[in-house]
Amino acid sequence: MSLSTSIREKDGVTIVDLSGQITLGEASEKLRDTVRESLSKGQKKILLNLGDVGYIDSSGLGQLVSSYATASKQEATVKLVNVGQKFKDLLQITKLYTVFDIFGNETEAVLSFSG
Amino acid sequence: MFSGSRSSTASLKTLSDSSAWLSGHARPMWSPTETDIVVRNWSSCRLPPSRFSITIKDEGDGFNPDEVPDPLDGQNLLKSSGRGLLLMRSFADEVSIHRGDPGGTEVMMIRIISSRAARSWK
Repeated sequence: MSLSTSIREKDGVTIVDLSGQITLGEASEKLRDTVRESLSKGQKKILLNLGDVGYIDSSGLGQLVSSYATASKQEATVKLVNVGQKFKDLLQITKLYTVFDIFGNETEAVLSFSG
Repeated sequence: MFSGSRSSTASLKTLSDSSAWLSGHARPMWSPTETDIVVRNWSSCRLPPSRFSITIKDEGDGFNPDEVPDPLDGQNLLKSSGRGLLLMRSFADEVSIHRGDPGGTEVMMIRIISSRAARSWK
C-alpha cells in the first residue's frame, strides 16, 4: 500500500492530508517531497493530518523527523493532527512526543499556529 | 518501527510487519530483490504457537548493533534514522543479531505469545 497526499489551506495553515502507509522507500520520499514543495512555496505553517495513515515504520518516523528538521531550518513549523493510539505508542517509545506538537482535532491544531 | 501496541495479538502482526522493514534493509549479495525471511513457531501443528519468531538473513556487509547511536539521546532525537533496533526490542521479547555463516547478518526476533492470542491470529 502506498502513500497518497493532498494539500489544502485553512486560515493560513497548509494542511497535508496523508493516506496509506509511511514506510521505507517511495512512501517516505513522497512525504519528504510534499513537505519540501510546501516549504519551497514559502509555506511556514504545515500541519500533517495522519488520520488516514494506517501504518508507519521506523523509516517513516525518520522521514517525519527529517521533515520537521528541514522545516525548522527554514523557520517553518510542522505539527501533527489526528494521531492514532498506535502511532502515539511509537512516538512515546521513541521519545518523539517531545519533538512534535500533536493535536486531536484540526481546529485546535490550526489555532495553535496563531500563538 | 511498527504500528502495533503491546497486546499479544497486535504484537504478532507487528513482528510480521517487521519482516517488511528488515527485508527492505537487508542486502543479499546474490539478488538485489530477494531476502531470506523465515517464520517459525514452537509447537505442534495441532496446538496454538507458544513462540513466534521471524528471522531475516542477508549477505551484506553487516553492522555492529553496539555502534548504533542511542536514538533516545537528546542529541540524536532529530536524526532521520536509527530507531529500527529500538522498536524491534520494544515489541519483541528477544532480539538477536549476529554475523551469518559464511557471511552477512542474521536478525531474529522472538515473541512469546499466549494461547488466546495465538488462536485469534489470522
